[in-house]
Amino acid sequence: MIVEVLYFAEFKDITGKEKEEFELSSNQLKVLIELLLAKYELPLRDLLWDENTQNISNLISIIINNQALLQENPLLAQLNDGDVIAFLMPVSGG
Amino acid sequence: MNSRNETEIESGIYNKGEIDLACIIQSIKRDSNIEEAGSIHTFTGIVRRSSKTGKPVVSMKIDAYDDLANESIKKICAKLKQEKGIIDIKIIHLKGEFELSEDLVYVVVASAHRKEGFEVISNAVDMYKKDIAVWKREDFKDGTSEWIH
Repeated sequence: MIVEVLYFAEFKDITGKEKEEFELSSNQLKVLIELLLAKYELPLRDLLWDENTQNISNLISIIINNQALLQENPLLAQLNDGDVIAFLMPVSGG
Repeated sequence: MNSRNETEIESGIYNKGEIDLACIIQSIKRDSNIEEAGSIHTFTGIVRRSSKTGKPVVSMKIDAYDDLANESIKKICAKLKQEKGIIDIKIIHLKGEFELSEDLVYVVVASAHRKEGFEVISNAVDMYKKDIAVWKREDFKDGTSEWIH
């Protein structure tokens, strides 16, 4: 299945892209995270990943199809074909 | 920009250069209830030449998740429009690359009396800074940059 990831702020700087499609071998968010960390390595890992908890950093809000993901362990969230996902840092309006 | 002088300006995210304060004020003055207003208050956020820690800033970038930010801005406006004496409110946040002193955000409030207008415009600024999916990156004189959170 294919999902789309939207990049904002630091994520856009690191990837050099506004959005990107990924083909996933299973429907868990964990698989997408593994692909992202493998592709963009340390700069993205520093931003997205908490080494202590071995999970997505609690500074990050996960948005799926414009809705916040509210799940105790986000890595286990189930994705569907065509989902649009964004990882957001805390906001800072002008 | 002239065409915007004739149309309703909706609150939300716009690209730099797409809209200016005069257009927003003209739009708010076309509100069907504007004759109940005794004042129009405006707030303009601009690029400051130093960061919160005093580091010299040379430019700024604003990025936004338009769908989420527009939804949050509309909710803020709808909530504040319920306040007593508030006739209309618009919040416009710009995105793109900005030089020092350039406009980043406009809040315009029409109110029956000045007191509630001043109060609501201050609340609107607090709310958009906390709630909308917008990020700013300060570019410093020493060549480094930092996204502010």
